[in-house]
Amino acid sequence: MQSNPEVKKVYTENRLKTKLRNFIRQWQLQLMVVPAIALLFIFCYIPMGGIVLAFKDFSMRDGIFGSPWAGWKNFADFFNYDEFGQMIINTLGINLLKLAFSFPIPIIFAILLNELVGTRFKKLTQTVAYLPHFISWVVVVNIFMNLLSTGSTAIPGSAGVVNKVLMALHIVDKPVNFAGDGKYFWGLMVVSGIWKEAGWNSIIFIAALSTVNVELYDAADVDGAGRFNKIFHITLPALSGAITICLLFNLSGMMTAGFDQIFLFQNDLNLKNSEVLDTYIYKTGIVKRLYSYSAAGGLFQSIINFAMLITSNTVARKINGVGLF
Amino acid sequence: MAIRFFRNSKGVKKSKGDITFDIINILIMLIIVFLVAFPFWQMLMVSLNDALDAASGGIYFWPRVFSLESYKAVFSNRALLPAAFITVARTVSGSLLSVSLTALFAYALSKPRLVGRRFYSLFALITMFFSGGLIPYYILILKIGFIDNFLVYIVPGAINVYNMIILRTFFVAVPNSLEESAKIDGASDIRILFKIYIPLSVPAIATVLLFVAVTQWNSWFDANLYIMEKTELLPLQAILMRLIYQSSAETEISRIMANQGSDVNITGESITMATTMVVTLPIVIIYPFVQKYFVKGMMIGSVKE
Repeated sequence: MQSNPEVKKVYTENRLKTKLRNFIRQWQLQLMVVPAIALLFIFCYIPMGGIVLAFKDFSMRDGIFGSPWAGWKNFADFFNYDEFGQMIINTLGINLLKLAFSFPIPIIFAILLNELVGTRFKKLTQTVAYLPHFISWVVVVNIFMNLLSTGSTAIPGSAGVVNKVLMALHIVDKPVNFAGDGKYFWGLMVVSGIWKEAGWNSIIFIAALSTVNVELYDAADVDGAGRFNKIFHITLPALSGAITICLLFNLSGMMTAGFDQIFLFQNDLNLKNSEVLDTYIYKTGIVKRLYSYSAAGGLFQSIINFAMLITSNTVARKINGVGLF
Repeated sequence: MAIRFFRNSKGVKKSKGDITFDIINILIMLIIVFLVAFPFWQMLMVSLNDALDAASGGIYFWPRVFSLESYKAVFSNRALLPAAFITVARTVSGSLLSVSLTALFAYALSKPRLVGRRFYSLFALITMFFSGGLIPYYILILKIGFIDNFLVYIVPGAINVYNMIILRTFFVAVPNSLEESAKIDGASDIRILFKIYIPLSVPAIATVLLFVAVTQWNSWFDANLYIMEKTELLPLQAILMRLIYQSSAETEISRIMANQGSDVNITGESITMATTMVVTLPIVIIYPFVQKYFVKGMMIGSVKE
């Protein structure tokens, strides 16, 4: 085809005309798109524009446009905060622990469930396992505080179940203050997270396993493969796509530790180990109204998460050929 | 419930290792079921127990001194009824609004002939991975007058891109021939959506409806953030949160004592537990019935992706 500019111009014009004609013909479809795009624009993209707050010295009176520029000052202040390092450590610590423990458990659960004998029992286990996902964190935290309570010293035997069991097995001789002692906080986040979400998170893996051809297992049986052999060579590879996607989602949230859970388990006693970026940003921004300062922290989070997303996606693409996009 | 212990599904005798594996697997699952169910059960038992007796601990599987006193106290809480109303209202209106707008969006995006499809898709996708953060969002809500406004519960979060993708995947899977023959018969896009696609997509729509409904039922943080003075707009979870964290339980007890005299048999603990049960039991009861619908929908949605 000639790269004659005249031809190109007519070609593009015709393309646009067709597009316009189709656009008008499908007006009903286009109308369907409008509410969603409008809502996304207002509640997602306009706040993105609010990023400038991080670079200004914002005050409600002056408004966004009237507030003076502050350059990188808010970021400098945020990073210079005494506990900044500790907050990053807490955020990353909790997330890495979750990656090490909470990430494999849904996978293992899906595999075990797949191997389970007895369909009725399988369904019962699934029903029960998904249930905590449907309960709010307020309730879950309440349940855990109840189980882990140290009771009051005035009333012997008033401790919660966990402490009672620990004492009965002589692992400890007095109740452990799980809720108040900072060193248990990270572990508490992991365990409560698993209790609440592991069942639900396993659904995607169970779904992936349901697509595996049963004949593969039969063929493996003929070849004399044992249980573990079959799991390693058939079940796990079938899960690799789902595992990669989940891993990418997790890695792209490394700077976000999950607000609800942390906020509700936090208290003055464990604050040193429990303050994460999310809760600090909330406290300084909403409670103390240091809007610009807090916005800078939020932007820092978003950028790191985004960078991690792009990086891990690229790496996953190179290794597996699969990525989020 | 027959479980084949000694022969596998092909009728072949299983090896010792296999049988051991199966038994251990079943034990593990039983432990898991116990670990999930017991905490709920215990809390229920303690809440059904006399409050002062419960404070001395040791209640696990059955109430020691049965008492409905704590529940009576909970239902006498004047903040509870408005809160229940708010929770139900936001769950119903929020789900309906969100599912309908999201489904419309998903349907349009499922059509390759949609002009601007790639743009709209990207527009939606980006919001899943990047956001302006809490503060700009909060200021926006402030500026549009959604503070102390019921609408803040249902409008900003109406479009959930993750749910849209689930629905879109489902719509894409419907055979084109159905649409083509409808078009030949002269049906409009909207007609096709309502008469053909929606009836076929009931599992997926039910799934998304369930997701949104549960999120609405369990929301507490948005209430904390955006409701400043109009406490009658607080949902159940926010009331519960205040009981536990802001010691409004103590205030409640004082109020009840003022009404009924001080020999009343409740503690802050017992009120909290009973309220927790009241807030949670609707979900626990409805859940098993709804479960089969959404599991199917989830499976289909996640497998295609």
